[in-house]
Amino acid sequence: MRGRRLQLWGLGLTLALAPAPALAQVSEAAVKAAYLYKMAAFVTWPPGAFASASSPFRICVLNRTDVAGPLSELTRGAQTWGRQVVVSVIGGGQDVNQCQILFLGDGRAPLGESAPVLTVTDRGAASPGVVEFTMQQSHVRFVIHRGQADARRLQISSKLLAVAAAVVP
Amino acid sequence: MAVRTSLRRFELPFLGKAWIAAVFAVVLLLLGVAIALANERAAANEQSRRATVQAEILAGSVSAALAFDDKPTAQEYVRALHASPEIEAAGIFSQDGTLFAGFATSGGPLPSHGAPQSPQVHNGRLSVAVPVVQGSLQLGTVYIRTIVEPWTRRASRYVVSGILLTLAALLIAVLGSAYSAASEAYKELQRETDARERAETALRQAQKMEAMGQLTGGVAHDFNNLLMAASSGVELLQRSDDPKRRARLVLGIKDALDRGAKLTQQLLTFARRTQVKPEVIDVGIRLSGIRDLLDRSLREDVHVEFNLDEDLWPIEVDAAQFDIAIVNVAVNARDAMPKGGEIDIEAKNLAGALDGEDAVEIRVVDHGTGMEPETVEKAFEPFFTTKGVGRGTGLGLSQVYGFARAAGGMAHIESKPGEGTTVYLVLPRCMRALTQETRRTAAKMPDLKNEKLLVVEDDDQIADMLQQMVSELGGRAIRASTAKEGLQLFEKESPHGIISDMVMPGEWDGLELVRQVRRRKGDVPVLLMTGYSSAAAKAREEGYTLLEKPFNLEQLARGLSEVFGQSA
Repeated sequence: MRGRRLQLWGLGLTLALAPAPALAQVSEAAVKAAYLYKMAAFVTWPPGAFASASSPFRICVLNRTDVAGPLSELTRGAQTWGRQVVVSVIGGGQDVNQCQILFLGDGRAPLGESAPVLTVTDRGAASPGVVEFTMQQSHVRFVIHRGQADARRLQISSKLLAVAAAVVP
Repeated sequence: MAVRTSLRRFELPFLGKAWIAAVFAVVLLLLGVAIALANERAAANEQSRRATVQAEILAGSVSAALAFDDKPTAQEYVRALHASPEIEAAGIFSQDGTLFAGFATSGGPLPSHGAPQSPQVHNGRLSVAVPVVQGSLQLGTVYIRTIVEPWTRRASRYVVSGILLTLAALLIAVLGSAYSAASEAYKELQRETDARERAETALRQAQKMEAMGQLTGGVAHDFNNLLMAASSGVELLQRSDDPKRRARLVLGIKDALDRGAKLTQQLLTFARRTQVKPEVIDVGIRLSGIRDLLDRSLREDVHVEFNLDEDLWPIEVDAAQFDIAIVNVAVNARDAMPKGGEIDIEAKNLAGALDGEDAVEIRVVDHGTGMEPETVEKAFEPFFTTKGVGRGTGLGLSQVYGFARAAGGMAHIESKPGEGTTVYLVLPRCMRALTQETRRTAAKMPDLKNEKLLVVEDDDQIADMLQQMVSELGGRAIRASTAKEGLQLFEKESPHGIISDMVMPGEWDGLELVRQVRRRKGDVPVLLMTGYSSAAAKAREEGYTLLEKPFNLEQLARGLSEVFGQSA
């Protein structure tokens, strides 16, 4: 009985892993774009993070059109937290304090220390953001820096913490 | 009757019908099935709900893993469900419908692309699918397939209660039909009881009518004979001058008339039979009293021998019925001895003979033909007779038995063919004192010493005869023919006593006359005469001494000595 179940379990596992190659074909930038959008659902912003009740939810991408393209595509007409999702590609020196999510890649932007903005950086950036993308076995993963999140008064869902490659205090 | 009403109280008419019990049983069974179906539906809903909750929990936990493509974590969450034996397969599908993680142990693989609409039951399996949502973001679908318990196993759970339910229904059906049968039997019994009661009433009526017919028929016949004897005697008397022959003829005429009187007496007694009048009597005195009656009822070749113990206990019976019973037994004894013989009438006290109570036993023994046991068995039955048509009524011994039972005693017969028959009457001892009337004073001829007696009688012949009888007893008689005339004569002549008929033409009857007389002179001796039993009863009620017509000189003398003794 037990032997048979293990055998079947093996079958189930094989089935579950079968679609994996299809996902691998998707580009790293597209994956990151999707992650940026999805992260919004697992993070809670403090009150006052938005200028007004009708303010859109801004996802800002610094200089990375390869990410901004798919992201715009993905979020067309989408809403999160009851707000219209707006994707902006910004250059250096622009005010990024009105963004809710800011993807910096490996660049920098003039941002207040405690501004309620979820900063996302690539690995190797000069100063890592709240979320730091990393690669594990050719999969895009991420590390969460809780100290930064706390400084920016952002609440990270435990579910997100559970799937993080690492959580840095 | 009391038993019937109490039985009726237990009758439950609505249970009396078997079909109602059957309907009860069917309703009970249907109710059981309905409850089982409801339970079944509730159980199915419960299982569906449970599966949905499990899917929702999985969907809630797996959202991040699904969102950020963390297959190992997702697989870990799914594997947690593997421990549950009823979950056959679980899968997490991404938003584009591809399978992200999952397992399937049996009952077929997971759907390869896209989760089905939920919930659905197919091939004994329940499938549910819930969306994986984070905030307003739909990430995919969680799918769970559970095994629905096979109906055979579910049914086995209902078997015990089903058996109990069926037994209860059967019990109701059986009880219902049993009760229905019992109530049917009860109704049948009631019908039979009613029929028997009617038959018994009819029998009693027939018994009475038959006896009445026999008696009147017999009496008419006998009367005819004795009238012929008397009239031919008178005729011969007129033609004869020989004093010896005349004396013999007179004796013959008197004998015939005596027998006529006795017959009338029997008729009167019989007429009184309907009202049973128990009185305390002394068996010895009573038996001695009917010795004459017996001697006359039986043939010359039959001799009655009395053997009565002294100090017999008193008994309480209808005295007239007692006499008839003894005569009935004696007549049977006579008929059993066609060649003549002796009948022994014996009486003795028997202590504790009637269920422990004291009793007086009267035996009438004959030495005649005797009876076969089968005849003895039927002897007390009404209309059973061994005598020829027109000779026996079959009611004599039936009366004896009825009398004994009515008196609280019993009657039985011992007989052997060729050796004779003994009839036993066992009657309960009475602890009360003797009724006054039954004490018979010895008849002694009173000497009227030329006393004046008023005779009130409408019938000239009887009045004439009465006057002669009074003269015979040494008195003087003055006669009135109506009550009013009697009262006038009483006031005028102041007689020493009155002998009055009761039923007379005119405004007053004899009873009213003596009431009037007593009002004027309270202690005047009064003797009433009548041939009507209803009038006799009325006179006795008021305490008057009564002579029943017809009577003879001796009886008149006894009556007179009684009333004169009272007033003396």
